[in-house]
Amino acid sequence: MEGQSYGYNIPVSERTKEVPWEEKVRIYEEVKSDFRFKEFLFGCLNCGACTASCPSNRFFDYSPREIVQRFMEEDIEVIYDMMHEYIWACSQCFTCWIRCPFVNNPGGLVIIMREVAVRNAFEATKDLLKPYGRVLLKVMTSGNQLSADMLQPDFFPDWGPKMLDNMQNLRAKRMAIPFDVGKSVKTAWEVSLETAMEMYTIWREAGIFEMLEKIDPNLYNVIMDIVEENEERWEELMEEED
Amino acid sequence: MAKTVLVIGGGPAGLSAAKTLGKLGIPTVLVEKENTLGGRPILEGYHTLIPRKMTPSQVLAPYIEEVQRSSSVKVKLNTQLVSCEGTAPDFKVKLSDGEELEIAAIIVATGFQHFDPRRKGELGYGIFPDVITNLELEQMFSKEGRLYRPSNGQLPERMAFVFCVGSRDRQLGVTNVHCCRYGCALSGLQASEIREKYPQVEVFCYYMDVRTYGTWEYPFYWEPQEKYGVRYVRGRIAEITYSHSDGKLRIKHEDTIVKRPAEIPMDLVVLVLGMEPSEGTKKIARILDLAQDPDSQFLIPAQESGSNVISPKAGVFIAGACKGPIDIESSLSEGEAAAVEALAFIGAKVTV
Repeated sequence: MEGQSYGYNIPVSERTKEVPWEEKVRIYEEVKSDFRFKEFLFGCLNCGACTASCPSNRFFDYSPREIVQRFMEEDIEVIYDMMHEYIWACSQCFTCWIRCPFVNNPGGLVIIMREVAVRNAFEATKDLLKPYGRVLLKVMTSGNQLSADMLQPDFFPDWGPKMLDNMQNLRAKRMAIPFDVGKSVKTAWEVSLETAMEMYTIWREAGIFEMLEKIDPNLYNVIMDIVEENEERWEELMEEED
Repeated sequence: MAKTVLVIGGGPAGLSAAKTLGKLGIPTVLVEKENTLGGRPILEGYHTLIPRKMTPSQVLAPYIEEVQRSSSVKVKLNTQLVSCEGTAPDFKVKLSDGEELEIAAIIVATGFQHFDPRRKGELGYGIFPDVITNLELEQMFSKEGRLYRPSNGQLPERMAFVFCVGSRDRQLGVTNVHCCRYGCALSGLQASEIREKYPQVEVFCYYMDVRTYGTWEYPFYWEPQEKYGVRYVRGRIAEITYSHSDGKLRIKHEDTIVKRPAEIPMDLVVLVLGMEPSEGTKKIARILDLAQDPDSQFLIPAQESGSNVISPKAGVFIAGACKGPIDIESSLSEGEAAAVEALAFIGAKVTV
């Protein structure tokens, strides 16, 4: 994807330029009509406290102030373009929100924009989610995908001394967790069937399955096979109970 | 029955109210909870006042002397209002020294307090010794007569003013959303004073916008830049840290004009403090049942009066920084205005 540079130079991507204006307006309206929008954006003085505090800003062409300002300006074309690459550099730490003197929430605006991008199956979201297929499969079906010993200092050079301490005596710490996590540090635990049912209800009610179906139909089919299988098992169990 | 006016607070507004009442021969009692008259400028040792660039004693000493000399003004130091019964013009007030008075009208001039910058943890005040307040900078000038870094006593090479600390900030809740009004201008003055005395020190001002309103624009915005070489950078300081590598502070901001994130080394950082109603103002509001702004808790005048000094409670007048951020010359004017309104209220005959 071509790099973007907003601000004084605004070369939006060729792909964005080719999209009919009405479609860009529709996307913009979908973002703005989200019930959270008015709680995430009040007024802006462009003081830059958000961008100055933003960890992503240090490494990427990404500025929370720019997002806020584009909404202030109603710059529909740039907002549409941002949703394809720019906003995905946000690490969702919400430092912008806790630093903004006027309590705007640029990270929250990014949540909405990302959700709209996924709901509308933007090509960018497909590319972005590709490396996470396995993670999605495990998380959405079993609610879990990591074993405790998978987090090792070798993979995380930025860990401080406290985090290193946390990874000592894993087994003892694991045993101290007051509910059943398999008592193992080498395997992830599987959530109970009842919990999985609650999880699937959340995915379903929140439209997560629908989103996934649009952006990755193959993964969706694999996941739904497991979900339906579990649901059948659950129903059988319930029938036995009766 | 003597028609006595009670003035609460011996700062600029209270002094000027008492001075005006004294000039007109009105029996007046001035209560001040501290042991000195003059309010914040004298008590806290301000160095130079905006906008006239005079010292607190140059401005306030004539007021203090005239109040003390006046035969109709009784000054009571170390004294506070304890209670107030009845309605105007027959207030029965009790003071902390046990004295009970019959009062026809009250002028409230209980002032403000400085914001405590420890509430903005990310700015490092109280953690890094070289992060100081603009109040401490004033005291450095007035008490020690020199500029230095608290960490090592040396003259700083580079220093920064951080505007709007404790002002215009919803992160602190609803109490500190207002503008302090004086900060931009005072910083311009302080920065100019530093550049005049120490031309080798580089001085930067970090701002969201510069509010040197009205006639303050030239002396406190352009003069600092054009005459003294103070540098203004647009961006609110988000964080102040310290680097052991060079023993300097780091101030983090976005230069919002050129869209550039920056982390700049500084030897000394000055936090420009906001204004809040003083504890005395909040206490008097309770005792006298005065209207307060629901957010900032500053006292508010009666809207329908159109006046800035008439409170919604009959016979009670409000002046100075108890009503919100204000500069000294406006505070002095409001004291005079409140005195005259009190006078009109009690219908006193003025001897000409």
